[in-house]
Amino acid sequence: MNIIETSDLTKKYGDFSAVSGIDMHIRKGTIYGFLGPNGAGKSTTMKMLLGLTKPTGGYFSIDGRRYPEDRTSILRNVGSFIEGPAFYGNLTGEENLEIIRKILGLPRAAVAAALKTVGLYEARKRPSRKYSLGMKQRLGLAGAIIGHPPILILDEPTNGLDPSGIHEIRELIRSLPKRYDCTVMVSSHLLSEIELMADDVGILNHGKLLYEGTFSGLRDFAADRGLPSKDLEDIFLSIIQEDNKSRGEIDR
Amino acid sequence: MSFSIEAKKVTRTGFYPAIILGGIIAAAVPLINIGARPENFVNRDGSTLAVILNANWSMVSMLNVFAVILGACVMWNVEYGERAIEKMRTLPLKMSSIVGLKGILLLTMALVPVILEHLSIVLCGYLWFAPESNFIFDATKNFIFSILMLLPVCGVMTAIASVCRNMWISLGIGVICVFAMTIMGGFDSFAVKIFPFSLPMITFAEAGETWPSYGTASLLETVIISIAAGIIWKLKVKSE
Ligand SMILES: Nc1ncnc2c1ncn2[C@@H]1O[C@H](COP(=O)(O)OP(=O)(O)OP(=O)(O)O)[C@@H](O)[C@H]1O
Ligand SMILES: [Mg+2]
Repeated sequence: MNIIETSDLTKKYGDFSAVSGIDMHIRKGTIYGFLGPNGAGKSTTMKMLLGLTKPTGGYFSIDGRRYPEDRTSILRNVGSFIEGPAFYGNLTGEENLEIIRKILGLPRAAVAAALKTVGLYEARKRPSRKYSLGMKQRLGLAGAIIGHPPILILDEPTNGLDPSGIHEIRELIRSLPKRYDCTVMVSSHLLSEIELMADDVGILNHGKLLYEGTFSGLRDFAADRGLPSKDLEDIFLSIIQEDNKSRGEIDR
Repeated sequence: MSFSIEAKKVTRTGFYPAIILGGIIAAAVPLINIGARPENFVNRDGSTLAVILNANWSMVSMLNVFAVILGACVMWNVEYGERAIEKMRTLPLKMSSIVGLKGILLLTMALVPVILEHLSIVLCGYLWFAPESNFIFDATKNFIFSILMLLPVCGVMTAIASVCRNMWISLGIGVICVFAMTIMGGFDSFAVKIFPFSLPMITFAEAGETWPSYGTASLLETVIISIAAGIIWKLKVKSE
């Protein structure tokens, strides 16, 4: 069963299409890797799902709910982290989560639990403005998972983390569906990273969804087109390059 | 509870100390002004309250307006500084409730200077004048009237600062409006006096018989500003 579905979802800024007619299917209880180079439209798509920006075409449903009618109920059921951390710099990590806790009406213990989950408990009393980039990123993640929402939308959650931090957060994301019985949509530039986390992958380039499905399906997809099909990163790059060529762009 | 959230958000920004300190400075104005040369004031015509207000209120009310401008800027800088507002927009709450509660917080905090100033006015009356029997009653009326007159500027500044990502822009707009107000202060016209930035300068005695007109203007402006802020925010969200 698909918990998130989009149909012909489109976002145009003037006559520029940031997202053009994508049909996405995210299965319940899975991790969906949303892959694409810079400017592909990943953040824009995620923002549409959260109602932060209005689609100019098509529609989507999240757990049977539609935007804009069910906006509040969608937001209540989706934890999100979009385009980097967003927080009150003058408040401590703990105070920031306390605000989110109150808005969501969660029990008091939720704050400490979320801080521990992302490994920020020791630093909870420090002003979040003074956090390192990785710590801010963790605070953002804590804000997304604090309510144990059935759906998580995470936009490049490992951005700015050191290798051990990337590993740690990746393991955390991987454990989420079992831990909280939730579905995760996670974006990245790196197929290698998505491969380690996700069950399914959607590849986006210039606002178009080029591929959607499993990783073994992706190898077949590449083989069918005569593209290299051994190394996943090569597959990703060649699919993007082929798409760019077909648009008449010069390879980078 | 949502109000306490808004109140919490501005802790450690200097918001509370600045408004309280501003209030103390503004309250000191009549004490210093009259205390330095009481003989210049005690024999003036008019009631004790009128004499004290005439000598000090334009300065004091200007400080109040600046406190409101600064307060609004700080409140919204906290939202835009580290993109906190973007997080708020992904939570199940309405933007209009955040804007409205911030306006109420601003007005609540603006009460602090106004209370201190009126205490100081009463103190001046007893220290250097021989106040009439209705002095306290009139001071109380002026206090309530002053709060009423502050409503529109709290609304306008909340609305302006809420849409300006950059705090300096809203601060600039506020300061320019105060200067425009001082320049136009010479015009003895109702239309000029009810400008949100000029209203706080009016005292209850000055309004006299026409105080209900000022009261109505203030309330009406506040309603119009709230509706306008709502529309601006709708358009802003739609254009993203
Ligand atoms: N508000 C906007 N107005 C105009 N164009 C926009 C706006 N927001 C995004 N875009 C454009 O839409 C395209 C997709 O942007 P988006 O942020 O979704 O990409 P992304 O896949 O998240 O990229 P990255 O990996 O760099 O985060 C970009 O070309 C961007 O310039
Ligand atoms: Mg992005």
